[in-house]
Amino acid sequence: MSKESIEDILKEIGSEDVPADVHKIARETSRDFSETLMRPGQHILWSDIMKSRIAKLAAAAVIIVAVALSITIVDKLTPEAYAFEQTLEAVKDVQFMHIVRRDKAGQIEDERWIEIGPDGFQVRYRQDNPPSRLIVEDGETVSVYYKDKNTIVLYDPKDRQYQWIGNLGEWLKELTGQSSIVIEENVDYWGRKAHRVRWLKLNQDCYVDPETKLPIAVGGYEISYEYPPEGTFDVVIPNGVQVVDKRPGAEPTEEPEWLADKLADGKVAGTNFRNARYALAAGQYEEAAELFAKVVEVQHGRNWAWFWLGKAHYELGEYDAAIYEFSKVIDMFADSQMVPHYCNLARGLAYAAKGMKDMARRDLHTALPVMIDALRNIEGATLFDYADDPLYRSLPKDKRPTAQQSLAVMVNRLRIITSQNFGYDPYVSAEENEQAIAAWEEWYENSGEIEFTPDAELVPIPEVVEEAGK
Amino acid sequence: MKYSRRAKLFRQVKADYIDFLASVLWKLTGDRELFTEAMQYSLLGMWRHIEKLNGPKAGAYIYRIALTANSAAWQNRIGRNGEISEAQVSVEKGPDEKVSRSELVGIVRRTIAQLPARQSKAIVMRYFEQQSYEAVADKLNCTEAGARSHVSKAVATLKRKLATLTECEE
Repeated sequence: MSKESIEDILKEIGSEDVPADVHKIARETSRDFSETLMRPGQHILWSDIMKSRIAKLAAAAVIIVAVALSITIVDKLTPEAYAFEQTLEAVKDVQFMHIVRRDKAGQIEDERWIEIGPDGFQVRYRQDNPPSRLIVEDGETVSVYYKDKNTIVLYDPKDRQYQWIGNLGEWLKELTGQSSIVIEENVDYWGRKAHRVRWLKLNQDCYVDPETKLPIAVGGYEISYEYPPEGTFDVVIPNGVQVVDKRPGAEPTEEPEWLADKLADGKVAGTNFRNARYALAAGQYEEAAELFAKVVEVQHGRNWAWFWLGKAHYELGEYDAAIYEFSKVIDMFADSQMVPHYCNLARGLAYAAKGMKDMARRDLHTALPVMIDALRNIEGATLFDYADDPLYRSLPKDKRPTAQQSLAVMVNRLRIITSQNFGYDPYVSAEENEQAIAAWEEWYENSGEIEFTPDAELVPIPEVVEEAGK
Repeated sequence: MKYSRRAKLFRQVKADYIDFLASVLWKLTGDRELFTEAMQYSLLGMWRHIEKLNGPKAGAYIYRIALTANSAAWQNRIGRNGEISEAQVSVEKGPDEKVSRSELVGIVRRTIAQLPARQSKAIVMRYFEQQSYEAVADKLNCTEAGARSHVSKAVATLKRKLATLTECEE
């Protein structure tokens, strides 16, 4: 068959008018669909929606009337519409990132410069946390300047590396791919226009510049892409500063006692953190609590250690301790203008277990919209899954919960905090569960009343792996 | 998104695009039963992804929904192996047993449902809606040369697949 004849056939199809009865079928199908799907308070199967009697009849009892009907298709496409692909394209040209976080008074508390290599990983790096610490990596050496101790420690990058996000290329890909949705275009962001984008995995809002298509803010961090001032990535040793060189082959230098303690503490904390996660996963709550407590004693800012310490205390029935530890995490994130919804859920459950209903309701209401949203955007369940399984971070991607499993677990979390049951069934298709998801959304909007139900009927978590990773 | 907002948006989007969907899906299916099924899949797709249809990018996304729905409807008819039984297609073989024009049209439609997404979009925009290459490029978010390439590849794929199919079915 020739190319010409195929084009002729395509043109012939393209010039066909849509019969009047087909328009009628379209409208009847549409009406039937709306009536079936939105019928409140009933569980309706996908088979009710698809191939419904009305639709079948409409198709079968068609009266073929040859009416020449002129169809005008209004072009609703707008060339200026924002697409994630534009950001993905724009980030290819990014060589430097400048990241700044300010405190409530507007003072810089964290400033970073990153040079990104073609593989998406950082090549050179600078992190300034005034007034006490300055870290610089020039590609060959990492220097950590403890200003309050007047000491610089030099490392080989293979032994110690500081970074903002490991694989920036991958992160930007996630931010511009299926892990994000555009919430609103051209909103006001501190006096400038930006597109607001939800990064589903972390339930965080990001802002994208409409002109450059580049992210300009994530959580409490502002991002820009200018060239850094000369010398930004130079390792500079100021006069009179003590240098401790820990690079391989360097002349042995005397290590101050505070530094030796700090490094030893860090090493022990790392081991304790790992063992504590395994203990918690194995249900050895006392041991887990003991080990996590040792971690936070020396590393006060380790949020996951605080969180899982709270989980261990919760499982031991020590709700006051759990509430204190979950609160530490929530406060920690408040400084970065972020809400750890998984932690509000955990604290809400602890309050509920103590019978403090109002406090529980307040926390659970904070977590609820994100949980409901995750039923449709399952990436939003990632942090909840991560928080529930201290070994999640060690799992290879193909061993992590599937979307189907995450969804079933999220439904169970919702059943426990709301006492509602909308007939979700993990063993039927997504289409058949659409009605259950719509019912959750409708319930949330119309009532959303929290009712702690620890003995709620739970759905089984499907064993069959339908898709690997998420 | 709140349920009532979702429902309101759905009603609005449905009203905006029902004629567009009817036109595109009819051209893609040419069969009332397939059309009805594709329309139902499209409505479900719109409902499930309504947040993506809220804004100026809606028009681009509606193509994706329509083409996915069309593929699903065809897949239900022809099965995942791509085979179709003679009883299910209105074959009108002529006296010389060669594939008739109407059968060819049916085969072209069925084959479009199996094309890669960008190629099928390019075909729909270029031939079913008679859009310029500039407009196709704009909507596919690529260059004009890229749009020409997608259309050309799609036609070549159709030609190749049709050659095989018509050989088998003749």
